[in-house]
Amino acid sequence: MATIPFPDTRVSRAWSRRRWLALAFLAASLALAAACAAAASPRGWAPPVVSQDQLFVSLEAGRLSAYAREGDGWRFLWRFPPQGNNNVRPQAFYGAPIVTDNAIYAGGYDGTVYAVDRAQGTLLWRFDTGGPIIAPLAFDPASGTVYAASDDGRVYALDAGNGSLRPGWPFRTGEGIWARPLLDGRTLYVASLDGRLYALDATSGSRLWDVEVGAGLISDPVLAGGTIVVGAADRRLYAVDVAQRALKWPAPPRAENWFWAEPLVVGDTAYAPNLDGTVYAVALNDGSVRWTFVAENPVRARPLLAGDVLVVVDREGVVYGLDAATGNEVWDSRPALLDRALADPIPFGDRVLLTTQNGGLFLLDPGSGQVQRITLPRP
Amino acid sequence: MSGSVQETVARAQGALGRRLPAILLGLIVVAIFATVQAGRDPWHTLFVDPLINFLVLFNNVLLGQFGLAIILFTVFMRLLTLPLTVRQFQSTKAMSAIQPKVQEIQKKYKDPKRRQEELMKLYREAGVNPLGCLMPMLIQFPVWIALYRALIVLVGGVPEAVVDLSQHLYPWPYLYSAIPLEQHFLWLNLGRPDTTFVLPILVGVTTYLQQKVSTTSSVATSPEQQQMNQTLNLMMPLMFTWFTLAVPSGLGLYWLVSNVISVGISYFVYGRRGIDWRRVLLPFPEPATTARGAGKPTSAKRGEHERRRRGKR
Repeated sequence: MATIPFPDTRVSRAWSRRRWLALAFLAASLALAAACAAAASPRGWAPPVVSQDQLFVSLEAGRLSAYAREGDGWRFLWRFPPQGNNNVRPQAFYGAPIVTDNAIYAGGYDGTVYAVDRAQGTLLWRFDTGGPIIAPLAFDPASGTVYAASDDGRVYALDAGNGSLRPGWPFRTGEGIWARPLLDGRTLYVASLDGRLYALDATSGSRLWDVEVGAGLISDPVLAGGTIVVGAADRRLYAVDVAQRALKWPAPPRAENWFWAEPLVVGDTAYAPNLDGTVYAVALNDGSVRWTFVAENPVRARPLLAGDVLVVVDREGVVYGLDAATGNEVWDSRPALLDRALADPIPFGDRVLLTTQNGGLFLLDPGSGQVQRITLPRP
Repeated sequence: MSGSVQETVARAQGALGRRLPAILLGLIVVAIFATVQAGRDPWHTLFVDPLINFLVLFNNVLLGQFGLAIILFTVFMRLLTLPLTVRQFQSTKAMSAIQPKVQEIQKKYKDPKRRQEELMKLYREAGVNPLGCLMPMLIQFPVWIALYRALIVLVGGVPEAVVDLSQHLYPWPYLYSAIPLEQHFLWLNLGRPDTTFVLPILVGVTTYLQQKVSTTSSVATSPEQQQMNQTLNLMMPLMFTWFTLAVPSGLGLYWLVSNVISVGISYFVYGRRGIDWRRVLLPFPEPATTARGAGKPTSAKRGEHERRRRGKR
């Protein structure tokens, strides 16, 4: 940075030493503010989970809270990690927590799998992986195993009781894993950023087979009728025939951006939102596009079928109600959550629960498209 | 005849060189208007998005080594803006060379109007524009800010940042299939701050060197400005060390490489003798006044010495 000499003494005098100091401090403060504001920090997009009239939700980055239903309202139960505990810092949760009768399991962006006591919210055990956990966890109630896929490229099988690593695990892929491991019977399917879909023995962790899809696989895979549907970084939606262990569609549909949201498969149709802002309804048998709907903004959240209405939420929090058969809008207006929405909507009775990036929790009536904000009690 | 042609060509080149910043500025303004007319965001369309895609392209060419891509890209960008940077340094150098005369005029003429006239006359005779070092800097500012924004988007690393990144990539499979980018380079995770303190210290040291090289190679016209230089010499390295501790280390890597290149350009422009390395390496400058030249900044004396040395040639 070159110094600019002042040609006139009057000007130099006007800029006293104090002013220069003030200017320098101002510049430093502005630069610091800009740097802090600009540097992205993980917020997470874990959808809430409702189980036995209890709500488990991450409305603050890296914190999980539990509430019990009381009449029309909610009563605060606990928060994890508790206030003032600086030893546990999950940073953010990207996947919905697994809720069992006794424990809650959640993967943190700090790379740790946390097991929390369901009643008290206390830490039962923790297991550190080698990278951030972005993929939601998978759980096998039969064997009591928690499966965690990490950005370090490995899949870990953990004993749900004590967090110990099962023999034969972890399984290593060629790149990070951002997609939820998909458990089907004794087979665990893993979609990796290395562009392969792996089928593993869920007990031993050994590889059964794999299919090279091409580009990195980023969406949570979904299995329906012997077909796994998954989105890839080459902007295509792929289908893998599990029996044939091969790609199914001759011409996978291609969009203008990534299919990051988990597709929703209902009947013979996969509803796949895309970051280009379009929702694609794709025929499962041949990959042909039945209809498309163009939202106002990119869509990262999985759609939800509530009754006959396909609920779609875009990144800027605009909510759409679509006719699942035609893709036509069914509501008179589009409710807006007025905040970024990246988390999947979840069913809540005959309603839909929606969360936003800055801690908003909303209840949607899919029949009318009316949205109501839920205010949870403060801890 | 041949000499005349050469002179004409040299004059034309000189004129073009002088007008280059203004031409570039004009082109940028026209492009901004055209983008706004097309209904697009000019900041991202013209500055940030091209840089993001270039960076991803470099990453792919370098076989997915994003750290190397940042280094190569920084070198590339500094080379691209080299004419402007050199011009800025040369303007500063030229201003430094005439500072003794400027100070003579300031002492000699008490009437402000007359003093200003004499100063302008001096600038005309010396072929120096007092704002000559400002224009190249002004043009480079958007590039620096855009580069900073591009790096923030790319090395953010967190999933939210990748969702944002998806909106900036051009629809070329070669580019968008490369995402997510490899975040590891040497001991660094480019998406996270360097907790080993190595990179922040390196950034702090090189910022200090860069500051010292530029301030010791120019002339402080007043004690106030010298004070400011001293303040900046200490504050900037501390500030950038602090930033590097807080932001993704991919940005720190950019600052480190950029600082090294800046020191190199200073060496190239000012020459080996133009930089007082002893003063560069001293944390605190020599006293601003001497018994012989009370009130005259040391750096001004150095400029005078430089002038005399040139006069002897």
